[in-house]
Amino acid sequence: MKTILLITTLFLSTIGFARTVEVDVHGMTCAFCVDNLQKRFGKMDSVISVDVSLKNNKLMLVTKGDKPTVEMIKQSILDAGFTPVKVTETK
Amino acid sequence: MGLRSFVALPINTGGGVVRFLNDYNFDANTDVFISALAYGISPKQSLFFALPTRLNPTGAQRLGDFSALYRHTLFQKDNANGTNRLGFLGGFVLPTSSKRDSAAQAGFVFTRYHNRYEIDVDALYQKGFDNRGDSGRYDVSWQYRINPKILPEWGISNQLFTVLELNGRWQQGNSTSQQLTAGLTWAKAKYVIEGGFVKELNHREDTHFVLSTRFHF
Repeated sequence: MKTILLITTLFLSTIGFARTVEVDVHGMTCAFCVDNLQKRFGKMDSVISVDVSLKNNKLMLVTKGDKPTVEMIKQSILDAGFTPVKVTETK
Repeated sequence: MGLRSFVALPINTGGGVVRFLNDYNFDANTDVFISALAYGISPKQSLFFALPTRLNPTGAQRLGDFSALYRHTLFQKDNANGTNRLGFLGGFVLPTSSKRDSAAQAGFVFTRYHNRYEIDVDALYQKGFDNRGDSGRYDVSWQYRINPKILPEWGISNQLFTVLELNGRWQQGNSTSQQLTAGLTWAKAKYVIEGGFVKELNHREDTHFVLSTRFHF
């Protein structure tokens, strides 16, 4: 009983720390751009999922906890050769 | 990116592209096979390397000269519909035979991408040393995405582009060979296959077929 309670508490606390970050990204032009961002953020340990929209110029991340930070996300986008414009975080 | 040129390609930091291109001349019955590699040093700095091999009808092979170019993006303006970029090119050509001499090369590349089309313009001048003559080239490439007309909301879709180019090739002692290129590019997430026909508009008026594939890593 105690074990089940502990596991449930840990699970719920993990879910509670999930955050969604949406970034407007300018400069993406092709399928490689999308693949590039998906690979780059997909490698990060704390990133649960990555979605990129070439149509709407958006990157959406679901992360565990507060990493990567907004600054780390922006720098990764710059390193990929694009411009991060607006960041929206939802916890 | 254009069919006949490699230097407009955006390369992300730490990433690279390997490209293989075969240029078959119907009239001379010769192939020129070019292996090329691009690497991203930083968001604004990239390196491009190329090595051509000429194959004659007799089966004889001749290794061409090794080319290295550095590209520095001087200007980049991204927007919601695309991007405009201007880069400087500089590098050298190293001969693979003691019978040939080296050269220095410099030029520029401009890219404008807007919604479904892209225009790339590049020009390169090679200053030959010792007995090597000077040479130059330019490429004006227009690419238009014909499929899909509307991109998916999320993720990657395969893309098909038409390509139309005006190209010029000049060797010291000759006038410039003007060429027209028309082809298609099929782009998937990790690789591209593209091909087209090249018609020389003056000089020998030869016809070529170029076929290329590239992989991104």
